[in-house]
Amino acid sequence: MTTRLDGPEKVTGAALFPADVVRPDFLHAQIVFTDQPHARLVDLDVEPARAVPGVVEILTAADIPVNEYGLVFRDQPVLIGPGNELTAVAENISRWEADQLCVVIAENIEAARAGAAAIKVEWEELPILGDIDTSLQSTVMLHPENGLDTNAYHHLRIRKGDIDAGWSEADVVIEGTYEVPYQEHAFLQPEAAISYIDEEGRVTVEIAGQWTVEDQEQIAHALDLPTEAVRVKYPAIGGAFGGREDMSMQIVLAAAARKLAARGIRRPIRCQWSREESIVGHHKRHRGRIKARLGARRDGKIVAVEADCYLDAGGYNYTSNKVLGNLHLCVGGPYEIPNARIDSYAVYTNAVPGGAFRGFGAPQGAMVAETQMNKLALALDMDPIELRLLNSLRDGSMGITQAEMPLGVSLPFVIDAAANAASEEFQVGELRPVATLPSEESAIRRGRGFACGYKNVGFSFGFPERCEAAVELFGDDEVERAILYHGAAEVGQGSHTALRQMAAMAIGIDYERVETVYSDTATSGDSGSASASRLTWMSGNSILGAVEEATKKWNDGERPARGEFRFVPPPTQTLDPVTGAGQPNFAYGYVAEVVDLSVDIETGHIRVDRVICANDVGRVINRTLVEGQVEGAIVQAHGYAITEDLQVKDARITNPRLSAYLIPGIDDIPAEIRTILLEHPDPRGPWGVRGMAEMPLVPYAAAVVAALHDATGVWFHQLPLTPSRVLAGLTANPL
Amino acid sequence: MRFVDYLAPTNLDSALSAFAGGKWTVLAGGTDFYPARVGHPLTEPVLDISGLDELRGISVTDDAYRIGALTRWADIKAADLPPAFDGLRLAAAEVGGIQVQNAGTIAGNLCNASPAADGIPPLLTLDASVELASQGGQRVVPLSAFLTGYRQIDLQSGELVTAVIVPRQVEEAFSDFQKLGSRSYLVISIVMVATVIAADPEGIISDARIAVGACSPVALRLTELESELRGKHRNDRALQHLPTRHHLDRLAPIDDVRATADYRFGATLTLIRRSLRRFAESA
Ligand SMILES: Cc1cc2nc3c(=O)[nH]c(=O)nc-3n(C[C@H](O)[C@H](O)[C@H](O)COP(=O)(O)OP(=O)(O)OC[C@H]3O[C@@H](n4cnc5c(N)ncnc54)[C@H](O)[C@@H]3O)c2cc1C
Repeated sequence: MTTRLDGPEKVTGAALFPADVVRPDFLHAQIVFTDQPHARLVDLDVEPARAVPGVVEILTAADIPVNEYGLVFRDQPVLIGPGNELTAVAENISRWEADQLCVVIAENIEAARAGAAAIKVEWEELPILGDIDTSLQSTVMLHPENGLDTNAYHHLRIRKGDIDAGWSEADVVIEGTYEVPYQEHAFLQPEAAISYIDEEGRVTVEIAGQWTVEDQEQIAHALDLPTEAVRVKYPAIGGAFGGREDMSMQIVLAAAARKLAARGIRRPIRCQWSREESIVGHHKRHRGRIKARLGARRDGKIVAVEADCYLDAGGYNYTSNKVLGNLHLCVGGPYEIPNARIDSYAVYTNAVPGGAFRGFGAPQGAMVAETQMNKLALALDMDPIELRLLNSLRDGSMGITQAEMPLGVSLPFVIDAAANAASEEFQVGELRPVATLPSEESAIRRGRGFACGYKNVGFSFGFPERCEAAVELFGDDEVERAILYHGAAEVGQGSHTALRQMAAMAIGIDYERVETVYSDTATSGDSGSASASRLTWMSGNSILGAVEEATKKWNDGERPARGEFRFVPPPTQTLDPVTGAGQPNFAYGYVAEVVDLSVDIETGHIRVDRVICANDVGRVINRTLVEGQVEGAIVQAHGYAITEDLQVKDARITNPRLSAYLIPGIDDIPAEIRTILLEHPDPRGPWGVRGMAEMPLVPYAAAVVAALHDATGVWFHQLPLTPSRVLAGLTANPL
Repeated sequence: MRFVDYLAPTNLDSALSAFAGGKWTVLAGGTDFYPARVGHPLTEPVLDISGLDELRGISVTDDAYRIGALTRWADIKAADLPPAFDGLRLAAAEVGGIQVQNAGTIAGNLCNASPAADGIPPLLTLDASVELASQGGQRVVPLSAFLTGYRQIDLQSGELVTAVIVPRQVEEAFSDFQKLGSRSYLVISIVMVATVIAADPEGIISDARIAVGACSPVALRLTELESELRGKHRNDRALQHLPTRHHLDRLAPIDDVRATADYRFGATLTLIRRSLRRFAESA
């Protein structure tokens, strides 16, 4: 077995995370949030802060050359306040409680905080659009610069077949309205970074992120610099899950380093968020509401799907339009659906922005699609597995967007694998206590649920997807060693190990003979993001290309032989604005899960006794890492489905603490996870690899809901299934 | 550089004389002290009593158990105590997680006086008192009187809690503790119920004590229910149906991030009934 590259350092504590990097002459930065979900800045006076002993500099909007930021479109001021007016966004309006107002830089953190406290600021409060409904009904536009007369700023449609004909053909119709909740990433390492001017004069940020080149471009844009003048480097990263996709402190710290340098101060600056700042200060998995209808013939064939999906985007888009797109594709389920009408909306509000989070819209979609399917199976008195197999997408199937599915549709295989394992190996076992409460046997009900799902691999909807790698081969006759240069972020998932393994496989030398240089824009190219289950898939292809290039030069006698390669997958398309037709993706991964649970009907506690997860990974590069991803995804899904309850009141998060926002602990997670890895090659994946790390999160909540129904006879349409909610549901629907 | 006064006495007398002379904040295991100060520099003078070994440990006299103020939850969990302390020991095993139990002390839990303090309900059912010492002398206050309100205690300036005193009354009684939270460990209680129930050899309940935490500013004994239980037979089938909503009238649970008030009422009754059933089965 291959030792994990970053393992020894992390186990011994030698690995340096951004907050561990220490320089003797550090200055300390405190980022000041506006603390205003919606307000206009009337007056900002930072002079009292300058007077605080130890305060060195204060950064305000006027210090950001181009005061705008956004991963997809630039709808967010970097700092709120009077700026240079080089952006269409009103710079003096706070639209989120964690909009950033200024940065206080001081000799020590106490002085920086004292400076922050001394700032005088006057706000004119504006109406707070705290949720989707309020925002849809309001005449107040949060982003008037987009010219729309609604806060539902992004609308996607699907019009497929003849929906009326579909309904008239339907013998059974299932309807439901689902509320899906926020989820906080809760990565181990809260945001932290250092910034400085490096030896070549580049403004440099060392931070934990997911995509060095994207961070670099965002900084360069706001600072109005050529990208080469900006350097982004990743030390050890303590988890990401999509939560580091957007900017937190990258831009302001880079701007601060430049402002100090202009004054002749060349000292590195450090900044570190507390857990509360982290939870308040970065985006979440979207909350939303989805109304869905599903129609089928008596024989089980699906004939119509309708859905109206609303996602709360929060104050800024972040990646909401893309997450919405993915929900849009998933809400009907991975089935052959002849007739469909789907309308999906992203809605600006003053709540915390929604954004990337493992699964990227697919978990919300699967919660709806699979619960609808499970209800349909019941209404038809049909086995839920049989119902899926009857309707499953297959090679040659048209997807919901009227494009042929990329080859390698393995949904029927994962469904079979999970179902077989459930019937053969998993007999009902011994009764275990629910939660720590020694429960009363008479109050325990048990149930089993099934759900499946799919999730795209790589960026969708016409995004110019790419991945670069460089490889150098050394030796005389034979290749003796090699160096791989790659931008890929090691967010804890093991990518640095898997990439090195793939380089060794491609060159045909031992793993030990491959050196790696990672995650620094000064040495590596554009890897694309560590997200969308894409990194192994895309990087493997880039490595294969780079090795091929290097080998050509090697054969031409070059020593060392260096090969560079930019891998570009088949192009994807934006969806037709009226019909939603188009090819949104170039690859998918498929997964199916069976959940066995116990519920205490007197307290509402749920215990998941067993999970079977059948995940088609195409080709296992590193079994330990892959199994770790499956188990980690299920644990995270368990929190989403059952324990994690982020509360937002008047657009403010009221429980930004891990003592009140409960991620599952070791005794809460499923008692047993059985991982079944299938290896049906993706025809375009390197060595057949598929993306796999988000998929097991996707169907879990729906499988839990189905198992809970099996146990109690009650359907739940809202997550998370906290004791309070479960008991209220059971009381309202007596057994 | 800023300095704060920090004193770590090694015996009680020097602690009390220092304490009499100034305004000190007491630090024991620190598991409430530090979390309350995250992000704020320490400004107040600190009297660290964690070195007062004489305040650690459990001893027995003819008429009482004396649990030293610095006795940690891990010590209590492992202690050899009679059945009436089962509830307290179960509570000890539910305070935070193992790390917290290795540091957190019984007096710290009482002095922090959170409505959700897990140590309080079982100690209320043990009729515990708090022993306080100052340079001027000593006094002993019933726990129910020591806890004066939401996070408020009857602690005079210059006073330290030195011990928790449990009278030797119903040592062999059945005792239970149930904590209900949304997670197994490291969780603030939604509600907890502690019980101590003694029965005579015929099975007639001679003494019943039931305390509920996290449903009022200060954990409460359900005295009305207790007196209705007295005189009933342990196998009386009606026992579990006895507790009803009106027995909870003095509770005032709130809606908060953890649960609704309604849920708390329902869960309290469920937990009491479960304890009564276990009591019935314990003979
Ligand atoms: C992660 C975590 C989880 C927790 N989970 C739980 C839980 O599940 N249930 C629960 O009940 N508690 C929990 N706690 C709270 C805490 O651990 C307990 O209340 C513990 O018993 C406090 O004891 P301590 O010795 O650490 O108190 P300290 O923090 O040292 O002191 C607490 C307070 O009491 C005062 N004090 C302490 N000793 C004395 C004394 N002898 N005389 C006078 N004043 C004194 C201090 O001045 C301070 O105000 C948790 C804490 C943490 C950090």
